[in-house]
Amino acid sequence: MKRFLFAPALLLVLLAPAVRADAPKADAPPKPVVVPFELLPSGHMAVMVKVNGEGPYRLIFDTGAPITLLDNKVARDAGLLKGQAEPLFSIFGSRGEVKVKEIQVGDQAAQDLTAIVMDHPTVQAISNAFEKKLGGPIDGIVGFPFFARFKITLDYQAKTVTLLPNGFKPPDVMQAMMTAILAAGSDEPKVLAPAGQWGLLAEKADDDKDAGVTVKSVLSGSPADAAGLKAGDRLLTLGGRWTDSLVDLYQAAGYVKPGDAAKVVVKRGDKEMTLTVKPASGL
Amino acid sequence: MKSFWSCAALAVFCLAPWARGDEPAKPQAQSFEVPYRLTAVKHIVVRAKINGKGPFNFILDTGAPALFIAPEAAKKAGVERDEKGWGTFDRFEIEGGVVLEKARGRIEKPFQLEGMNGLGLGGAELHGMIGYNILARYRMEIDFTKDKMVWTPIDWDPKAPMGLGGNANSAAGGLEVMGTLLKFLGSLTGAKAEPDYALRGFLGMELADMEDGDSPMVKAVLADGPAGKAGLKSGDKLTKFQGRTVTNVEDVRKFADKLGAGDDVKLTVKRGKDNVEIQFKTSEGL
Repeated sequence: MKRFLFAPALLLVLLAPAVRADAPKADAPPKPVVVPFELLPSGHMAVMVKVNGEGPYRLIFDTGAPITLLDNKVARDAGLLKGQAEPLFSIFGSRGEVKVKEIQVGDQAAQDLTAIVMDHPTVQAISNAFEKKLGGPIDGIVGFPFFARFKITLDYQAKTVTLLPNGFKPPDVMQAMMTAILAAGSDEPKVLAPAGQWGLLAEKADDDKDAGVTVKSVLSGSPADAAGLKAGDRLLTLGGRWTDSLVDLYQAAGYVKPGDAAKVVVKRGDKEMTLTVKPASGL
Repeated sequence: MKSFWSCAALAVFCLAPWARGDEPAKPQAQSFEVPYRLTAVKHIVVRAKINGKGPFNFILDTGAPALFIAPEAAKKAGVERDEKGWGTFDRFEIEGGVVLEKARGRIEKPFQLEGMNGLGLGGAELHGMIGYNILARYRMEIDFTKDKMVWTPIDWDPKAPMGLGGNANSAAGGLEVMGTLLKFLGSLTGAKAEPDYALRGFLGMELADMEDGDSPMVKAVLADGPAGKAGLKSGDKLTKFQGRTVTNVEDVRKFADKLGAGDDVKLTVKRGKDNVEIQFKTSEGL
């Protein structure tokens, strides 16, 4: 049964197009672009979007969407379905993944993206509910492949999204998903490695449900020692991240690069104190 | 057809159902650095403690009109669901220092979460979504080149989200079946919502890359660490790690990142003109 599933999944990985985002252009430093949004009574954000120069269409700006989604009407207008035969059968009008030359949200454009063409029932339901009020339908969702390329500032009070190109190259989500599905079925545990060397040993008993982990020992001459950490300290946060388990601790330490100064909050007796540790380049 | 299932799966992960009317809570005034991580399908996940319990994992979702919390998580936090499906969370604390008092949220598990947990796509069990009724109280800066977001409270009470009328589930238009289906697929691959972790073992040596492309040098050795006890000395040049040639610290890290505590380590170092082999076991620690 496992095989049966893995084979098609692997096929998908192999077939998934390797689309890379464009390198950010080296000329003038990018400027932030302020895009107004309409706040729908349902709490959703609607932005005006041009797809390959067509439109504008009204799309929902969704930080929880791994994909950009366009309905069939937009896909046809923008010429995204050229050369594709009308499928005999499709659920929710799904036409799969398409390449889009340009998506422009407000005055901020991004080139060479992927989108999925589908008449999403939830989008349609929201559209039906507010179409009259908005003076037009809602035709899809702006998702990760677009917004990940920007530093985004959301302000619901001003009803604006500010977009500043940040050079981030969004990975292919479809491929990432398939890889993750395969990895999730693996029996191999995932090894958590700190990014630098701290020189401390921590422990937490199974029945210890309180916040933090306890420092069991600090190696003399280590970065933890230099920062003043002591055995018996209750380590509450590391680099602004909770350390309520050893897994938490190692994950938090995974973010602190060697030589960076990390704030560590410990409870020693009744006193809470903040120490600064600079982990070494080592292991 | 190849991508129908994967497209549909991803589409399922987009929008939460809307919430039915409610009143929100008040935030405090100061900027916060909120740590997050991206899941396999690139959802932004933040952690939150509810009434001191947790931490629970939430997707940051402007496509969700409200805070959504899985019933099991709400139960752990000791919060009851009212007849309209809402709950009040006396203290809702988001990692990074954001604290909301009397936060209101829907106690239900959207089918999207079932699917993601079933396939093990969250990297940890996902317990809910943080949506509009919480997010709207902050100006939020999200930048994937940084490992933390910046949340600044704004003095604004967002209007309670309005429902679309009718039954929320029916408006998912059949997509909710995907949640169950994905969960089933996950059960076939043996996927777990919460992955198994191992903690990397400790060696107790500091390394530096050499400018001329030479083998990395041992910059310092912790006397009480495993490498120090086994006789590694600062100034040694590390030529092989586990029998494999290493030319920079990154190589060493790559090989070492497979080691747990108590695993065997074999180093070959150049000390002056001699090649010295050093063997020891990693210890616990970081």
